[in-house]
Amino acid sequence: MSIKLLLVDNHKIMREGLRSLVETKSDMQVVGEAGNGQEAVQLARQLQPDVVVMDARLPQMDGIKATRQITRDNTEIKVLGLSVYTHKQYVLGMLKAGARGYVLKDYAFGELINAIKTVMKNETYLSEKLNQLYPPETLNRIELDRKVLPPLTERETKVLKLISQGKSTKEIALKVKKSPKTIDACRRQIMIKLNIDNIADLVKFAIREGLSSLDD
Amino acid sequence: MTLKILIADDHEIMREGLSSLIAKQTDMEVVGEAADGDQAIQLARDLVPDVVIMDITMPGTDGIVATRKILKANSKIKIVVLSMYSNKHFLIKVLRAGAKAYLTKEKAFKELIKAINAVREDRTYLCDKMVNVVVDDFKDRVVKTKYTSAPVLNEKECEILRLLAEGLSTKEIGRQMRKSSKTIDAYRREIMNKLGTNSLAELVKFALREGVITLKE
Repeated sequence: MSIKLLLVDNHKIMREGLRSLVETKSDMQVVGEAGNGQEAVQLARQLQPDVVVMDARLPQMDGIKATRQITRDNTEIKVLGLSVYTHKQYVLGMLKAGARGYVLKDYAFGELINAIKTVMKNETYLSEKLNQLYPPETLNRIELDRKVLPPLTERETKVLKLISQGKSTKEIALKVKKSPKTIDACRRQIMIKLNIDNIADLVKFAIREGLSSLDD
Repeated sequence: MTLKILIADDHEIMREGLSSLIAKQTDMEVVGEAADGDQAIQLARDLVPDVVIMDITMPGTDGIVATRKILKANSKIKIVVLSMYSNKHFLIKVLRAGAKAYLTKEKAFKELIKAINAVREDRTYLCDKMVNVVVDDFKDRVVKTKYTSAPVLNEKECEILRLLAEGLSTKEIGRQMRKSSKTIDAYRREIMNKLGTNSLAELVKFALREGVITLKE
């Protein structure tokens, strides 16, 4: 009885490569492919795969949100993160959203096979590098209770955008017509929500999310 | 005459996927795989492939430097860049280094085949997204004088720039480089001065544009 896989990645060539590799395995088959989070949720519902191999970063609803929706609506389906990103907001984000594991693309296809087989047995799987970065003690301390990561408010998004444009607290305060103290508090709140503790990572986050470009 | 292909990408599962797809093509074969720029340079020398499928962001030596060095040793090899990134700064650098084609990873395998077939006939190939990047830049033509003249940072300054862009505090950098925070602060001011940047955010963006760090980190 072959394991049914749904592949989700916005890099088409990655999906095609994975599909080609899965074809060499007699005990699994790809039943569908999706290029964004929305498609992933739809296809998961339609096709009822056993495992969804999902990249954490996707356009039109990211992997984390999609994971949350899929696991909430279909408790049988196992979601497995497959990504290049090791940053905790992705890894922990996926796990908190209900993923049973997270595999890094640095590793071979064989690693993915192991991960798929492991999650099919209802166990968790993390690539070795991640086990070192996020040892089990850290994971246990963080509530993996599927709570929704709070989204940024409109003002927080605005402030984040201005921070990533290099504006000082004073300049931002003038622009949004609030006191510098409020802006500082806002920035601290943004960092707590995003689990980021320095400005450089904040800027990179803003760029990744499309709030800022390399040229402004 | 089977086309010999070398794959350079730091993600093993990506290399395996590409190899698996290329294996199904009758007129081409993968002769080697490299996980970083240095390996790519070495294997290009040893295996003399016809085409190298080159990722840009790789640890150690990146795809841009690798492209330049491979072509310097053997100008007959064709470089097809396959990258996650579509920013114009990478495109400019890699074209200047001598690459003949550039595709983003969102494209299908059959487009990679098109690119390979184009470069084997010595034609340049850019996927539609990259064509748009070129057209937009061409239309734009607003020269940002701050960044066109390559500012010269010395080795220490480069290292400190990288650490700052990775999010380390002056204290952490000081500890790592065995210098006082005051010294690191002085370096940072000098770096900002040389680059004409006024904030950490601008520094991070400069570092991203120059490929000193990637968004992956």
